[in-house]
Amino acid sequence: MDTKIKGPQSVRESMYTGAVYGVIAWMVYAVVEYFFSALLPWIMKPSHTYIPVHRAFTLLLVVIYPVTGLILGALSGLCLRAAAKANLFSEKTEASMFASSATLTVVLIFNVNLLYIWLFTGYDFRPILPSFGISILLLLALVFSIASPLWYGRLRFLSNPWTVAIALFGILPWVMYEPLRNQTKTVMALAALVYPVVVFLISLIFHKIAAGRSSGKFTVTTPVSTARALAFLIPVYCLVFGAGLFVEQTPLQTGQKVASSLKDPDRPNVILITMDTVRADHLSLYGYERDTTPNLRKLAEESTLYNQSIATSDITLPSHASIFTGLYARSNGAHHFFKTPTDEDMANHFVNWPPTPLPLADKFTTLAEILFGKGYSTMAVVANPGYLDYHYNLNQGFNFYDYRSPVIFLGNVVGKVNPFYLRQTIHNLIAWIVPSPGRDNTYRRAGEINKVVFSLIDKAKKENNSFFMFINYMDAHTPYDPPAPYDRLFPGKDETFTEERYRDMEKEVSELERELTVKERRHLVSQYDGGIAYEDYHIGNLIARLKEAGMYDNSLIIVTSDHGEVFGDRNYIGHGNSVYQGEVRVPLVIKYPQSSRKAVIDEFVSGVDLMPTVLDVFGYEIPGDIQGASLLKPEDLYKRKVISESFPDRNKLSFHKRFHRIERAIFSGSNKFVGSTSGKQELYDLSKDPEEKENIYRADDSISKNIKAELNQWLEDVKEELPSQEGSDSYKTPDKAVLDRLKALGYVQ
Amino acid sequence: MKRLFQLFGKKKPPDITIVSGLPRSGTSMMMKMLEAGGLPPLTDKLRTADDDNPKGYYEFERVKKLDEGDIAWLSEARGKAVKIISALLTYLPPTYTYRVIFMQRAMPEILASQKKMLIHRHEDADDVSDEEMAALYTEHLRHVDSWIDGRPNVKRININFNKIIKNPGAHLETINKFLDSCLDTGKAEAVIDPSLYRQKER
Repeated sequence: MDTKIKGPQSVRESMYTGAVYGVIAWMVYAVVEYFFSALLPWIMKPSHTYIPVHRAFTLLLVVIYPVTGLILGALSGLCLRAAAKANLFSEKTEASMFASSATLTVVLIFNVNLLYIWLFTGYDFRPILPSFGISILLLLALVFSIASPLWYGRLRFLSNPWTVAIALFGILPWVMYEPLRNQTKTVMALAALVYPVVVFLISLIFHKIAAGRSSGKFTVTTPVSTARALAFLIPVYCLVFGAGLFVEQTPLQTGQKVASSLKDPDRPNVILITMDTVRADHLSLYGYERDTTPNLRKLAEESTLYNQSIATSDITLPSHASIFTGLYARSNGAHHFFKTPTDEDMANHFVNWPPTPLPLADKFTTLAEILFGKGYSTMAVVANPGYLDYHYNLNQGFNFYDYRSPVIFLGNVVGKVNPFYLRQTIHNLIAWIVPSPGRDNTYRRAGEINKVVFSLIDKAKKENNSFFMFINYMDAHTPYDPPAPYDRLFPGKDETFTEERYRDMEKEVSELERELTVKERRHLVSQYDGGIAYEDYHIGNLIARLKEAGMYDNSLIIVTSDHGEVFGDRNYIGHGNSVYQGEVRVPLVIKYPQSSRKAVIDEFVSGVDLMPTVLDVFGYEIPGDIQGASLLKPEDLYKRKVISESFPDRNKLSFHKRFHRIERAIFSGSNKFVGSTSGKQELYDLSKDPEEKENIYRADDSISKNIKAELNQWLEDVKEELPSQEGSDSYKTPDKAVLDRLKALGYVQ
Repeated sequence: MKRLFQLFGKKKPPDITIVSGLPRSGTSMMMKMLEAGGLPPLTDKLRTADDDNPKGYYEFERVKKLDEGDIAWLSEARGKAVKIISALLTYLPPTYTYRVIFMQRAMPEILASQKKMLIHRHEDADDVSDEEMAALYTEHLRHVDSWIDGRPNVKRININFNKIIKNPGAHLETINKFLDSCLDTGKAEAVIDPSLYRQKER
């Protein structure tokens, strides 16, 4: 192969040649990276789990990569010239060296990024090792091919940026794992070995053929050849990045259609709204001094208002699981794993603990499943992209489940991020330089949720069938970022407050290092209340839309929340801390079909009561195993015992030993007993002490003894759902006598 | 070209037809009717005909391992009929679509027939009283009903054994409609043998 083409001699020529090769190498890298990181996942994953790249960020990348190539290529050209001047090369500089050095910049930066991830981010480096190994080999090969035309002739195929990028990306963890997810580690290791070899072989063959045709004289240093190379690359570049602007996440749809024989448009529709993270006493509906909920107050005039509605847990997942199954968290199992942490657990940051709560098991029958079975169209539009993600299986029974999260521009990306892509490092770098509070929202706002809801209402009207729609708004959740004008609706906003500061504050307060300051509390509460008011505005819009569609009167509308939120009370921040009132007393308004007057219920009711209530309204059979009761029988409510549970997550466990327990509350009469696995015993008379300021528990007092015994009895009576019991519950296994009979008859083993 | 269509076409794989119910509720008879009507049964014929089921049991042994997680055979059952007693229905995974023909029969008849079968198998037929067994079965069937109702991938039709014996034509039409008219109802009806209806409720 003839590689003796006279190379650039002047500084300007060297920089120009290096820059041209640099632009081409980095554009090629960009195309390959974008394909592997953004387009391939869309092709391989179900489109409802795909999270696209923000369009504006895609457009930024379109510019950033060529510019990076231009700068690094020019610098590499300068370096080459300097090295030639210092007589470091056996031959004079040639165009081939510029091509190799441009590709070298890509591999070098790729390597630096991997090293950075390894040394500074705490990311498990093992899955990246194959890629790191290949990139080191490529680095050496490129250095050799720059240093000697002889080696360049042998390794020319490795200087091709397409070869390099495809070889590097094809064995990155995500790409390897997805097609081989059911294979053994040996097969994965073999694939990691075979893949780059195949890529290099194909490249070698391609270069042999190309070299034969052009006698090895192809170069891009002339205007014509530069134009020819770019004429191929630019359309590919535009095509790949352009495609990225159109691939989107779609709602999860089961494709199951309601049997036409079961359709009945005359049945009332069911609309269940959960206002995520909303504590009852911050609603003007319940007498809060700020008018946060004028629309709910109006709705309540024609509804039943429950003054003492208790969430079954203090976080989203178990609480929603209770609403859907009628089972407490202890029985539905969809909560954080708990055992008392050891010092070793604390020291190694709980790495051996499940990172997230357990999903709701398939075996549980949900309200949506029952209503779908009865012929209802079942739809959900949810804002909480965390625990309402399909992974947690609360979508059981919904034939349309829209849990899409907004596409993040520069804020924290929700979901898995693959840090080994350079684009992620670029993202982090820009986000660090340009902080983004207020620009990116990690959940869809109520206005966006309602857009989808309204389109579904229109669709349901056309389909002429009754529907069950679950709507979740999240605007009162952290980062407490209501849109204008709701951010200034209530005084106290601190413009300088950032998410980072919130995280520091949460840690310091939870670790009992300090208390929340008055200014911090004023800011948090003003934004929280603003978020509630914003949700209320959109609930008002939804009610108006239902009226407009003629669906309001005949609908069963339930507005509630999954848990509350606290702002420094007892040195707790946010939720997931405890079962005190701030975190578990939630709003509950039910507008029964054709209801036109207000009713008020003062007894304790629970999230587990919603499923049986809905079924009871329609006269459907209520499953016997559930722990809730129909609220249609208010006369029975006075004797109810209601339970709430708190299972701490790893974050809370790491804060302080006071979180090393499961905490439970039992509500009976006007009393509330709080007990925990670490021995807490507190009793409050909520009729006299709604803020739980005075613990009246006395070991020798009969009320204390009785209510504690009631909680202990509940723990004995209620079956605990443990991960190891998966699939062996009473729903699946008939009674022993039935099984014995079936065995005797030869029908089961 | 056919391969291409298989690859890119959106044709839905056929459902699995399941004949279910309590033992002795007429499930074997229904299997025989479906086979005669042209719907192939999934059976290994390991359990042979006897006095209790002179026309055969139409069973597939691996069904009995559903509760152990043996579900690999379900792909074979697509487009076929398979007998799964009600106690094992709830172990069916959500990854397939099922059409369940659920056989119902008067409880005293079921219990009487089961007792007779237990005696033939030299098993204790009186370990649980009929009243108790009836209550347990009723509770079990309620759970199964609830399970089926909550599964969007399961379509169900209830067929009463006593009624189909008396008036097979009308019921077979209903079943045929449920199965998207895949049956030759005349042939299916021809295999009904009323003489095998031996445990009539009195």
